[in-house]
Amino acid sequence: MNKKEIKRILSGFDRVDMPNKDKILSSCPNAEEKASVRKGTGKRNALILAVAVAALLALVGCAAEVKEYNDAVTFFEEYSLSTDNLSRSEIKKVYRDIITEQFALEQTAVVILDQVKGYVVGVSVPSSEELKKVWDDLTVSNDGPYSWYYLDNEIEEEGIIRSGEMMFFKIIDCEVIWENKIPLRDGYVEDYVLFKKGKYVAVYGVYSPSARGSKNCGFIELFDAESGESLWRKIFDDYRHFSVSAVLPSEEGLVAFCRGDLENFVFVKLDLSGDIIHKNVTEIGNKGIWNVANFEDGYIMQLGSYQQNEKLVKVSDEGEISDGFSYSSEDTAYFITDMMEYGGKLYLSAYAVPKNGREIVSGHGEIVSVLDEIIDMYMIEIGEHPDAGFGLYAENLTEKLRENYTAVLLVCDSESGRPSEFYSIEGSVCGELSINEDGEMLWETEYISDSYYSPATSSFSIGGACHVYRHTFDKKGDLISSEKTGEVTDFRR
Amino acid sequence: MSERRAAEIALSKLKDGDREALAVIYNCYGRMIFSVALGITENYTDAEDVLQETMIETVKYAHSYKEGTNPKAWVLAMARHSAIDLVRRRKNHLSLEDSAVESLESEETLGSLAPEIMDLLKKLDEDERQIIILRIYAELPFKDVAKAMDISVFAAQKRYQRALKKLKSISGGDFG
Repeated sequence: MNKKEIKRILSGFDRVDMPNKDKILSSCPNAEEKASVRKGTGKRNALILAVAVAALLALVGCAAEVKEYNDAVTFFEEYSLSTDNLSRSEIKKVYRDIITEQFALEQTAVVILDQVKGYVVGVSVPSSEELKKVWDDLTVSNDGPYSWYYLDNEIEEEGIIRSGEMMFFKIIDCEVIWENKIPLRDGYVEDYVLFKKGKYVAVYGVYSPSARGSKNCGFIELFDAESGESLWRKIFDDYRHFSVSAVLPSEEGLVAFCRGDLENFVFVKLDLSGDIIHKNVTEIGNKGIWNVANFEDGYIMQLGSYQQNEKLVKVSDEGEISDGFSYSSEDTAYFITDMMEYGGKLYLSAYAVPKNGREIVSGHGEIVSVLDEIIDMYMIEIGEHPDAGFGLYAENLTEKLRENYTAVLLVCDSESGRPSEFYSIEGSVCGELSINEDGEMLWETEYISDSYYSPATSSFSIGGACHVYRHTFDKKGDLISSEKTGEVTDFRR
Repeated sequence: MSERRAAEIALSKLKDGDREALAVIYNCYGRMIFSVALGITENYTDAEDVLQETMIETVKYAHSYKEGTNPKAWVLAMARHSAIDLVRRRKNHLSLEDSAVESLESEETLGSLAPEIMDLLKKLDEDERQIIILRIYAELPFKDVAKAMDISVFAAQKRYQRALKKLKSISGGDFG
């Protein structure tokens, strides 16, 4: 029996005769229903009043969006509401107020991690031989047999150069099995997801439909994973700026976690034909969707921005947000990079950075204390002190970075979503969570093996190389092994 | 939107003493209130009493309705409490007067009015029934189900999942 069947059965309530309305209402204090003539039902009259009230609402400045305006007008027409005396933006505002629920992210619980029980996992410091070859072993990891690139077929449109289209391909053992074009320009692929036991692969991202770039649309394209045939492409152009941040498989097809106009969380369910079967919009403010994972019969979603640390919120199967929390400790900031449900618990892969008396934001903000020390050293006149200069400091830099970073795996209770224990590894940042062929959970961490200071680079200040460790957990959630994989990844902050 | 917005406007007018607005609330949610009450009390007459009681309480407590919150959830929370109270009062009453049992059996029950619903709900305990009715029939979001039942959102989701699993395991079918 599925939910649809339960709903069908419960709709039997609607076939039971209701008690007499007049009898019910007449017994209420001062409740009378006047027999005045109405144009429609009481519901419609109230709606007409709602429009009149809405006409007095303060205007919210927003760009004129043709599609949204057309949707709003259609909606007004459907309910026989008058748009007289309402401006274009007022019509849109009333429509958006009506269909969008707000979620106050300020209402989040802060989980204090200082009291959570933890286990320290040891890793070995690389030997000198390993350090010699670490930069040779550094590889750009590929998550799987699928990847993408951007074509060089630029064109000129309205006097503006438009970037090339996207190619998505499948590769096994360095051989391209198939490739197919996603004929969208000025865009990028966010990621892809395999589902239905590897039968389909859905690629998603953002593109700009016009040369002027005044609008960004989201897209999802479904490919047959075996043949590479494109089955359908869905374009989301509801907003001026729309991005598909994450896609997960669902019972009916796919679930997309999107952002609309940088202030709305747009939850969209699609079936296998690419038709939208459910949509829910919640205003969350300017927060990025960083990670999403299945959790219970819904999802858990990580929201964040580079001005504020992230928060986790629960999302129901219908896209409604409830209960938010963030992780904190008096002395330490935690940054979550992956999450997964396993064995009835929620696992959050994160890394911890000491606060040293200041609030830390992710990215460059994590290495502020390390950079402070570099600058202190730099201030020593070269030649005055034998230990001054970048060359020697590089040896200490790796040690300072290892002191600055600890990989953490938070094990969260399935009832409350709060962490009950954690595993930590010093000198490391964290990677992904996955399941192996035996159904065991794998947690990858990256131990900082070597590093360098790069003040002239615009995108990062400290670079490095990390040895990857893989930690295996059994279905009870016990750590059963930790091994060095031989892979080396890069580190950049 | 229309139903929710209409109810919000009506509750606002009710606060200002406009009793005509009660008819709007009845039009919007009367069926839902009655059905939820029937699902809990399993008795037509009791459900009718709950409907009446809920409309009276809507008038009485309209001033406490918080604008912006879900009016359907607010009304159904009152209906649920009213239905549970009535069931408990009835149980106490029946224990004292055995003759009342016979009269109850002759009244219209959920089993006689909607046997398929009764077959479904009898597989669940009291809390699970309410969660299934509020979530699937009334289509309340979990946060409102939790408020109506005075439990946390996580507990509501957990019990909901348990109820669904119970229905799946009893029916022997593949859920979803």
